[in-house]
Amino acid sequence: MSSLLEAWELSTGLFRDGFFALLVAAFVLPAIGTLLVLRRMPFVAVAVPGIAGSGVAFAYFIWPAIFAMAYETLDPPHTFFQNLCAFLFLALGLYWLSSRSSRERIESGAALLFVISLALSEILLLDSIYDEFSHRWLHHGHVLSILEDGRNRVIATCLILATVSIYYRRELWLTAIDREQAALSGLPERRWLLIHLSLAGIASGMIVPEIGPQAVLGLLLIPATISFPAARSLSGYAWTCSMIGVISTLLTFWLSIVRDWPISPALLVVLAIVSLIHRGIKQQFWSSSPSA
Amino acid sequence: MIGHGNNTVAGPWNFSVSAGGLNVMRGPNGCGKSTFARTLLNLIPPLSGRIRWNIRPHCRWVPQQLPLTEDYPVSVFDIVELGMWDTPDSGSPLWGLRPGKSQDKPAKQVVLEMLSRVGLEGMENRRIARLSGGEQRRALIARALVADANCIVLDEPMNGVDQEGRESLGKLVTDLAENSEILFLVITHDADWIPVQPRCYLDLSATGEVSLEPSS
Repeated sequence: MSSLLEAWELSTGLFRDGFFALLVAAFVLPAIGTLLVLRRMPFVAVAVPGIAGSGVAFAYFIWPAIFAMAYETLDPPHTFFQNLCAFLFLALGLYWLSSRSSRERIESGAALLFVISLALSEILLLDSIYDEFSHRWLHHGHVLSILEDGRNRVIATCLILATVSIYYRRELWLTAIDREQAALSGLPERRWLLIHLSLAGIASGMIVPEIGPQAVLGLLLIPATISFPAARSLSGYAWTCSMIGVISTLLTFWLSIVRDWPISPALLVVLAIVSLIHRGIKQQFWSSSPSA
Repeated sequence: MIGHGNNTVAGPWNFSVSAGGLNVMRGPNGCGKSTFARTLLNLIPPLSGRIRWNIRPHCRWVPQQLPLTEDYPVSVFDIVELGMWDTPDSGSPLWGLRPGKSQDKPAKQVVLEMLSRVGLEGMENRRIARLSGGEQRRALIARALVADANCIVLDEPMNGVDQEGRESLGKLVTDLAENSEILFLVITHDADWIPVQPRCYLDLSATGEVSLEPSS
């Protein structure tokens, strides 16, 4: 009990900005992930944060070369510059993905981009002048040291994404699950695919430099994939995944403070466990319910 | 002429049907009925020629099956409600970004009324992919009806439906077609289940030729 209280005090005190940034991201990103899984594009959820991560690695690589004269210290690149590089890489990657002719080809392209961006990140980081700590920072994010402006950036991005997703939820759902019906309803497939990819791209481009590609990937993919067979309606699916994200974040902070685990890997494990528990409970409940 | 890419499936055809009532297109498997339906609905372009409408077409279709696996988290309510939202092509660059609703009443009320009309009362929270073939077809008919369409195309509506379901679904389709201004075009390889005389039969031969047989 005391460890819970201690974790809560630290989360809402010393690590307040990071805690609230991750909490809001954990509410919004799983709902966006459900759209990717409904579209049968789970690998896009893996690739997009990876591409953004390689953009950030590129920022680490190029920053000293450009600004070496202006900055004498080896501070990490300015966040705006990291966002800019992440968006540049995402724009190229998503444009290429959206030009592919079918969902299967988009998925195979996403897998290819993920592998390439992973390798590129490693090479760029090894060739940069930053130390091991910065490399870990890049992979895992720096949730515990997020400052007020980083928190505001994450929350503002999440608010915009949530507003767009809620406003256009029917269009996003319909184009994801039934393209022929969407075409008959006057919803052009390519336009909505681009909007869809852009949502994931904006989420990754803005949030990856703060909480890291690993956490973004986990939040987009894990609840949406594991809870998929345990939901019965589209809105229920999205809400459930958001709640799994929030509960997992609270547990992750507790574990991270009590056991001194790094936030991102801990979040991935907790997301998987909470999602599996939810799925097990739901399926147990359904098997005893004749109306399911 | 209709087909996919460079593959001509059937045609050339030249025929016309009048709006409203039940029309049946019948023909053996593989003669191009579903390709015709997709061409009529503008889901694929005709290889040559064109379809001329004397009304502003607002079509919906009831496919043979939904592209959803059994574990898809989509309820009957979701499927029908998503049918309500559409937008005609206005030519604007922002076309499709804010679809309008086809009914003025609250969406929930419209969906529940329509489910009751097609005999799926109380099933709105069930997963669509776990319903029987006949129930799925009823839900898809409800989805087409909430859109306020003037043309509904049913592609092999009796596929995967048991004998009991065939009778009640056949009665539902003919009742709806006879009591509305909507043009119902039923595409089937076997028209024995239709309990009434349709307005016209479009017969497709295995070689892709079409003949029109108006009912007296």
